[in-house]
Amino acid sequence: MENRAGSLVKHLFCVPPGKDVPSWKFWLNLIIVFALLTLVFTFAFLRLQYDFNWESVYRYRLKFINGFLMTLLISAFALVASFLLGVIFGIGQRSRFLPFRFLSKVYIEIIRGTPLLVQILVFFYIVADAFGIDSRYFMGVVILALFSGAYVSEIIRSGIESIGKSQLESARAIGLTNAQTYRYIIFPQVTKRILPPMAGQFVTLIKDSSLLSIISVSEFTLNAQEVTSFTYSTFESYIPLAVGYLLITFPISMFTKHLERKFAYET
Amino acid sequence: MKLDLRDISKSFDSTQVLHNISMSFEDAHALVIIGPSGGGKTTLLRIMAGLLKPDSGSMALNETEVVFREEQLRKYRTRIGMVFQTYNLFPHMTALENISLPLERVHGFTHEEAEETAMMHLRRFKLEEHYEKKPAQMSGGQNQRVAICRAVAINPEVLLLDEPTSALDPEFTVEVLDVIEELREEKKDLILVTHHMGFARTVSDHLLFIADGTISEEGPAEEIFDNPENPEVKSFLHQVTKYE
Repeated sequence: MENRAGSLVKHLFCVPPGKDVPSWKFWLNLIIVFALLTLVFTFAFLRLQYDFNWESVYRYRLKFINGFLMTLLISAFALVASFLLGVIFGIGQRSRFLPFRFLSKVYIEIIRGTPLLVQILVFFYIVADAFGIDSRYFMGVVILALFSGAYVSEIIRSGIESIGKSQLESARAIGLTNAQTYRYIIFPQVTKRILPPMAGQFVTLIKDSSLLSIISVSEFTLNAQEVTSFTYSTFESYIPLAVGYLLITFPISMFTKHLERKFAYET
Repeated sequence: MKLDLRDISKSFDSTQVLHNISMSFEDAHALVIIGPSGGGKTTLLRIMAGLLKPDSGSMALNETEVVFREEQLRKYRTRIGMVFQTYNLFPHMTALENISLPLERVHGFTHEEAEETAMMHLRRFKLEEHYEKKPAQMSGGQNQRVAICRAVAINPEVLLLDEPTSALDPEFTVEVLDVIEELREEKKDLILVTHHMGFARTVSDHLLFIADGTISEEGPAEEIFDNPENPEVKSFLHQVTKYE
């Protein structure tokens, strides 16, 4: 009797390691997980005895949409800029020119070792102010790019270092020049290898952009905060906020997984 | 092939790996290098391949002096086919691309010519069905045969092979040795470092025994295998052929 129950559980909920999940099993288990989560949260919200007032928030839907688009725009600019910074300082860490190498290392250690919140305040209220830059949007992109660039540098450095010595030797053996080795051997492989962590970094960047609200960049989070203060409807503003971020980050996360699978066999 | 080495020495850090190696090799096609691990075989082969610069000494291949400067060495390497122990194919390229890359980018073939030549070599070694596979999708033996194709396709003056079967599972060893034997029968010039004593004996026109960074003994294979003069060579051969 016990054995039969055990094998039923196994049949419904388990897969042997390394095996593909049949689609009925996939959906069954996914639905169970969602049902459980729904149960927990429904219970929590019911206990809250809170009157949701979606209508007042719905009137401000344009603010959400504008904030959402602004977040996308800032993140996109910051991503491109952080990629450029990442290439420069990723290669810089391997430079034979010591001032450049040390600048790269110091930059990466300081940025990765301090909170973004402090960086935003220092760069905006002290550095930008001293240089007479007062566009908070421009500085928002710059600060995010500097922050994310430090992480991208590390991704690129480890990407280049992951190309084995034996391959570089092989490239020399067949008579390729240095430039050809970068073009045909190193660059194509590094690009593929860093795509998954780069996509992950983009997800982080999008969420981190919410901190720009403290210097009044009118992005998604700041707009949600403003709606809260207009309507006194905290949850009605913040729940759409969470959903909005998920709408951007979830597809990227799925895309990353897809890339990881695609390139896995090439190592 | 005509190969001259004169007083080649090489150290890594403070360890001297090669001590004044001199040899002259003429009118023979297959030079095989054997000897204990760590004796300097691979270092010598890498110097012959133009991948390492000796600390002192000089070298000539087919009466052209080798200039040990990076730009000249790069040109020199284009005359040589090199096969590594661990194949060293490029993992992001198919078998066909691995072979056609040096033809197209180094040897001035057009894209079509390069692919045609690469395909011809794949067919020759019965690898044509794998032309679109990447290294990770092939067995070790197939990879090593593709690596040999890559080295042979450029029609090198000499083919260098560094323990080409050491990294292979035993069942793939023979297919790679067969390919080398076939190349030798065609009188392709080759220099082979190997641990397969039986194979060394079969293919070599001239055998070089290297230990402790010097040539302990050299000559025709039968002489060295049947009547080694150097007691070290004798005891090494006795050890490694015990179960053969």
